[in-house]
Formats: sequence, C-alpha cells, structure tokens
Amino acid sequence: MLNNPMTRRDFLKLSAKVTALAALGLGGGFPIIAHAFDDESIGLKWHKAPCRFCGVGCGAFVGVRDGRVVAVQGDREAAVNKGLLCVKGYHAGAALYGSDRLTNPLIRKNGRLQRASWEKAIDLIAEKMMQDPKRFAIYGSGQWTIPEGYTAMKFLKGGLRHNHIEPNARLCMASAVSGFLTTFGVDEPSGCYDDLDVCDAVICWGNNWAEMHPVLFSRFVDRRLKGDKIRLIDLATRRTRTTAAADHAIEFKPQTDMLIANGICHLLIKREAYDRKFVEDKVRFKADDETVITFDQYKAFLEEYAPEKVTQLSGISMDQLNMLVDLFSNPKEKIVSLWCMGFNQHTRGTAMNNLVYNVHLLAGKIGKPGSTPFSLTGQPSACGTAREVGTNSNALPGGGLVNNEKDRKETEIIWNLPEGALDPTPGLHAVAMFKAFAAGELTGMWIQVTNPGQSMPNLNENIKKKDQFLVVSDVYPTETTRLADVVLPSAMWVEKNGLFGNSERRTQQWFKMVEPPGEARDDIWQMMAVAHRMYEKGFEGMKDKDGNFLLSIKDESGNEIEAWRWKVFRAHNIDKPLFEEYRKFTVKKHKDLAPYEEYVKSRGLRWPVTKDASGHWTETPRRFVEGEDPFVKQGEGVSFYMDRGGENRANIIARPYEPPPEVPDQEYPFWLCTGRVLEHWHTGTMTRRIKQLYNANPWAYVELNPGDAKELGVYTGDKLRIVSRRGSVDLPVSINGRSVPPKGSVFVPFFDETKLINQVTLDAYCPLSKQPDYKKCAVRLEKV
Amino acid sequence: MKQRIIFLAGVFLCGGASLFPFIQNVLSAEKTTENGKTKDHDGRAKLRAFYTAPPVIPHEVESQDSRDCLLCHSTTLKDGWEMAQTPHPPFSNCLQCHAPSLPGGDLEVANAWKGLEEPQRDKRWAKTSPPPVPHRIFMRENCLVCHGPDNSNMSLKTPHPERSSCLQCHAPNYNREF
Repeated sequence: MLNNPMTRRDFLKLSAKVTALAALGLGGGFPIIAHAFDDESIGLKWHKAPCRFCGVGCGAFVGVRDGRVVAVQGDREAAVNKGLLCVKGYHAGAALYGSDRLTNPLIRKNGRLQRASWEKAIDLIAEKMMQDPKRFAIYGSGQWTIPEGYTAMKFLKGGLRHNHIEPNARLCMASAVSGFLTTFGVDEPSGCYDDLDVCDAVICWGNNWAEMHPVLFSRFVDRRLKGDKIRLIDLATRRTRTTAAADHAIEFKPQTDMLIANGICHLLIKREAYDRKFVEDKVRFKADDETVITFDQYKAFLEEYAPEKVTQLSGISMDQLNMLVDLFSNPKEKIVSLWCMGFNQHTRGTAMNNLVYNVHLLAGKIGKPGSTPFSLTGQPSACGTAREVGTNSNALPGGGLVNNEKDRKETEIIWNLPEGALDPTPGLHAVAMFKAFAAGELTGMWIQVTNPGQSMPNLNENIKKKDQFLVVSDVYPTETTRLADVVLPSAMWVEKNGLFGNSERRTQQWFKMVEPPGEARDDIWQMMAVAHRMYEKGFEGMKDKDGNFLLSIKDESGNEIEAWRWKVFRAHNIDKPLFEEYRKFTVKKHKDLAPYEEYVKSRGLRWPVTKDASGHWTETPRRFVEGEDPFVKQGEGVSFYMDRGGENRANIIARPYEPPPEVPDQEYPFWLCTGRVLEHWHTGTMTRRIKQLYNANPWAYVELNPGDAKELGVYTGDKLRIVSRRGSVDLPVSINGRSVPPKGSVFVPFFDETKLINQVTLDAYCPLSKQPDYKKCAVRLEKV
Repeated sequence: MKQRIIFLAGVFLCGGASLFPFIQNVLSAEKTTENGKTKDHDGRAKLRAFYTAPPVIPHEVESQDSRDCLLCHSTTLKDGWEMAQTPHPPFSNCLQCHAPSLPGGDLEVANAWKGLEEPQRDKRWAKTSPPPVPHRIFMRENCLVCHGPDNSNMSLKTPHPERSSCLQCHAPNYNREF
C-alpha cells in the first residue's frame, strides 16, 4: 500500500472502514486493505454523496453496480447523521428509475408536447430569449447544486443583465434570511448540530421535526436512551409525532407565537431574569422601523405583552408561559430553539424570526455550546445555493446586493463585465414574478429543479399563461411541465457532479456515479448550451468586456473547456472550475469556502473555512464564538462581527403582534394549515414514484379533530370538500392519524399532485421577506 | 430504556384490556395479509428495497410512539405469534427508518428499481471451521434475534445457543461493513 500512493477515494473508503471497524470493536488486529470496502466479487462500488432530500444534509454512501444505483446507506463517518438515514434517504436510489423519466426534449406543437432534438430545443430557447431578454425570468430552487445556481445567476444577471431570478427558497427560507440580516447583519445560523448533543432542552416553535428533520430529531431524543436528562418542548398549533415525544406540549392559536415570544421577553425583563451583562455588551435595541431605541423604550414596548393578555389570546396556560420563562431565566439551562416553516411561512415571518432571537439574546442563550437559536432548512442546498450563491432577485454571489454599487463593481470585475453592466434594480420576488408572468408582463420563464405548478400558493391566480413562453427542466412530468412550451430532460442527484450546502453551513461534494437516462442532460449544460447559442448569434450580453463568451470555463492550464458541447461537458468535471470561481465571492461576508479538493476529501466542511497556521483548511463549528470562528478576536468571547452598525452587536427588534390577514368567520369557519410528511419530498415528484414511500402514504388527506368529525358526521375515509375564497379540493378524511389538529382547524399535506391543496391556500406574504403564508387561511368543509 | 420497557410492560398488563384491540388489529392484519407477514427468511427479505435497507412495516401502524412498537418488537411474543424482534440497539424513532407499507399498493407509475440482493453464504475455510458471517453486522448487532433458538423459521438457527460471543468464532466480512 505504501508503494502505491492512495487516491483520495481510497483514502475516504479506508478511513470510513477504519471507523466502521472501530465501531464494531474490530479495528485492532485486522489488516487494512485499500479498495476493501467495495465488494468487487459482485461488482459493487460505494461512493459518498449527501442525501438528495432535505436541508439536514445527511451523508450517504451510494452503492453502484453495472451502471445502476442498487443501494443507499448512511455514512458512519458523516458527522451529521453518524450512519443512519431516514426512510426517504434509504430509498432515494429508486427515485432515478420511475418508468416515466423524461428522456428527450419536448417542444409544444399544435397544443401537444412532442419529441424534439436538443439542437432544436436549444435554438428555440435562445431565439425566444433574444427576442425579449429583459422580460425573460429564471425560477430555480434550493435543490440546485452550488455550481448550477452560480451558473444560472451569471447567465441571468451577467448575460440577460436584469434581476428577475428567484429560487423556490422564497417560499421556504426567505423569512429566515431577512430575520438573520436584520438581527445579525449576515445570513445563516451561528450554531450547529453539535449543540443538540449538549443542550438541556430543545424548544420546537411550530416545527414537526420528527417528520421533517427526522435524523436530527433522533440525534436529540436518542440521548434519552443514554440516560441524558433532556427536555423537548413542543410549541405547536396541532399535535404531531413531535408532540408524542415531547415532555411539554404547548398548543397555541395560529399567529399568537408573536405574543408568546414577546410575552417571554416581557417577563424576563420584569423579573430581572435576563442576562444583563450580555445585553449591555452585545446587544442594541431597535424599533419596528429599525431605528435605534433605548432599553427603556424597548421595555415600554413590551408593556403590551403582559402575561394575562398573552395567555388569554394565545390559549396557552400561565403555567406553560412561566415554564418557558423559568427555562430562559436559568443561567444553567442550555437551550436550543428550532423552527422551520411555522415561522418562515408567516405573514410576519421576518418579525417572528427576529422575536426568537430577541428571547435568546435577552437570556444570553447564544454563542455557547448547547445554547443557540437554530433555523432549520427545508431543502438540501437552500443554504448553499439559494442563500450563499444568492440566486434571488436582489442578491449577488457571496452576500452582495444588486443595489449596492460596491457589490456590483466587485462582481463585474470577477465576471469580467464592462463597467455598469449589472442592473441595480432588484427584480421581482417569486409571488410577484408569477403574477407578472400570468399577466403577460414577463414574456418568458425558465424553471429548473422545482414544481411551482403544484407548490405556489393560490394556484388558480398564480399559475396561468396564454402566449408566454415557458421552459421547464425536470426529471419527471409534473404539474409544471404540463404547462410548458419546452420540456428539457435533466440529470438528477448522482447522475451528475454536485455540491450542496446544508443548514449548519456545511458544504458537501459528490461525483457523478451513473449516466442519466436517454438524452437527459445536466441543468448546467442546458444553461451553457443556450448561453453559447446566444453568443454565437451575436447576443451582446453573453460577451464579457473583451468579447469572449461570458460563461467560458478554463481548465487548470488555462485552456478553454468547450462545455457547451455535450461530449466535452461530460468528459470534464466543470463543477471544479465553477466552484473555484464562485469561491472568490465567498470571502466578502466571511463565508470563506475551501478549495474544491478539500470537499472531495472530507465529509463536508462548515464555513467559514480558513487556513490555519499549519496550512490546514479548518472549518468553523460555531460562528461568532472565540476559539471556533477565526474572525473573532482573542478576548472578545462572542462577537457579532457582521453588525452593520459597526459595534459588533446584535439587534433586539421590537416587533409588535399583528393579526393574520384571514381568520375563520361564519362563512369559512376552519383554519387550514398545510405542510409536509416524513415519507414525501415536497411535491412528491420523486417520492410518489418510490414503492416503499408511496405505500406508506399514497395520497393526500385532510386531518380533522375527532370532535369536529363527530359534529360533521364524517369518518376516516369519507370525502370532504375543502373550500376557501380562492378554490376548493376534495380529500379523504383522516381522524386520529399521525397528527391531530385542535378543534376548528384542519391540516392537509401538499405532496399529492392529484389533490392540489394550493388551489385553496392564500398568497398573502411577509412584507419584508415576501414569503407567503401556507399555514393559515380560512376554509369551510362540505360533505361530498 | 430497560426501565421504560418494564414500565410499559406494566402498563400493558394493567391496561391490557384497552390495548387489546390494538394488538388484535395488528394480528388480524397479519392474518389477512397474503404476502406481508411471513415467517420465512425469503419473505422477510422482500420487505427490504435492497439488502441493507431497513425493512418496511407489513402491517398498519396506529401509534406514533416508538414505545408502542417495542411492546411487540423488543421481544419474541409467544402464544403462537412470532414477532420480529429488533436486531439493533433500540432507537427512539422507529418510523424514521421503517415505513408502514401495506403490501399490494400499486404505484401510479411503474418503477424499474432493482436493489442489491442478500449476499451469498461465504465458504468455510475448512469443513470443521466456523462459517464466517455472510452479511454485514451494522444494525444487526444482536445475532440471537435471528439466529437464536426462539426463531423457528426465519433464518439459520444456531446449534449452540449456549455460546454467547458469536464474533469470537464467526468472522465478519469487513468488506461488507459498508
């Protein structure tokens, strides 16, 4: 072995194996042989990849034989999941093999999608884009890989030179982003998953992580089996699988989370139980309009949130409120707050994110191992791509903003654009973008890796078109491809190279393992090919300031890789040069990434990743914390160094309660909440084609409180029509199923394309983040 | 954990009457299921999408609480009913990995997935030497759950149940530990 230098793959396999054997207590006497962990006798090889699905970012090993994925298992070396996956992850391999995979480009002719060549499809898209480039938008996703998002960003902002690009993360994490920016001046959590291993209590704010982030949930609750004294507090608007595992279940009325958070702050100050020193040294107070106020003014603002009012309006008991306050008052308690769509999909989503930071900042429960507010993420690269690359209407790569001249200039230099090429006007946000498309104000749109035909709120209003030109890149037919004029068949997950960034700032890399089926091709290649076709036809935007191709990629010796040619593209790993180019942006906001090769070697690294004194690339488990984050100076302890006020402070913002835009009334007497389930990924395009997952949860249903069911005279399996002011859908009833809503409210999952609950939902959104609220609207129930 | 199980066993005995319909439901689901609950080894292998996949649950699941799962699956129930005892250390969230999946549900679209098969038995070094372990041990750490004397038909039964340190003689194949 010593005579043959190991490849990185060998090294990875070897280290994984050593750990595995150590876990079994078998390490000592065994000779270690490189290549051992592939089973060559049956032609089986294992490769690392992050899981395709949620934002937890579990490390997986994918078993490949004869050019096909045959198995998926948890990576025991992966710090995130330590060997286990969830039921979606284990069965992810079957997502590649649905019999209706899209394998040829399709072009609509005479109202029908018909098979076409790549050549024709690329030509048509390039032609349409050149006709009206300023009104052609791109809509992508938090499931884009980092190089895919970066390419789309450069294509649109650098090439078409406007800002109408959005990710579906606008429907998912936008409120989290604006919450981070307003409180800390920089996006993404400062804590990490390790905090779950050492905290005393977890508070779930409207988050059913037992189903939506199951591996993290188990990582925490399994500590009980080891004898750890831990507490799980479930603050929710319905009883879920998380509630079943909770020590305290606190049910509150929709939207009153705002009252509860302010109510906790009110009592922390009233009882002088807040962390005075931390607040004096590290915190600044702001009013709702974000002007600076004094502590006394903040205290006066909180007067409105006296416990009597909070408990009366929210429906929680005084004991429950006191329990929460006592928890935050106790300097010894290490507390992690978790939330996801409950806060983010909220008409006051940004405010709700700010409010949970207020509680943690007042209590000084941040920046210490085991104490952190932690915003969970929905998609595998919502952080890595949508947020860090910044594939949205107001951002530039690496945390820049289009309306900031310095950011535009820096971007123009890296992209070699003529000065002033980038458009300073922010583009349309997702809901506005689809409304503009429906109204014909946008004439074209290219959608990749997402299914807005099912996932946009209030579908009847927002997914419409007449003559507008719609291109959809996907792997299966969906509610969105149904509307398309051109459908492009894409490669997915391990059919291509990629990098994802998960919730805890961990960037993870994988290599292509199997060929995509038929003529399916990578999303990056599709963009490259269209861009180059426009360049060939003389489109100015696709030229840099020297007249060269804007998306040109060079190999290590500086030679152009003609990546727009499929044969050349598939012979190269162009992720590497793209990532190296993108990396230049990441130092801007101290989100430094390591060179590509470091991610090949590791099981992901949490940024900022910097070179230490010995020349090693070192990750940062907890940001803003001395000794962990290289940008915190010695003696500072905790430093919020991205503070826009320049004082290294975080903001406590006085966010008042506001009622929801639509509340149940006589005509529409029930609350409707929508969401996900464990076995399905978002709109079910992949998971409804996997037998084990389909069988577990084949179709959508409406969950009813047993009391309401009795009054309505319906039983499990009966059909109900859910009607709102916007639309209706018929669903089978589920009573006492996996979750139970309180009286007067119902829950419907959105994964089922045969039962589109988003025809019913409301498209009101948070004024700051523009993220719509899928969790609350008023409906009535009719027997069918 | 042990305490919890004992406690639950207590609950089960005291509140047996109220839990009885649940158990009965599980059992009757087995009876009516053609391919789901099978005692033989091949039938059980079919509950996995591939050899290292967690098996799906071949019966209806009414409880969200893992402690309820363990009421049956932490022991081999007698009285004529044989339960699959979990071969790995207990975790808190059974349904994270095991999906309830009633057999017979047809996908709306066919899927051409072909999963990795169970490995073949490895040869003994000599006729008299103990056979090596042909499958991986991760998540199957408790050998006697499958190979012990209580499991009549599921898999190879040990002829020497009195010996309790299996890996002393039966070598795992470290190539397969991943």
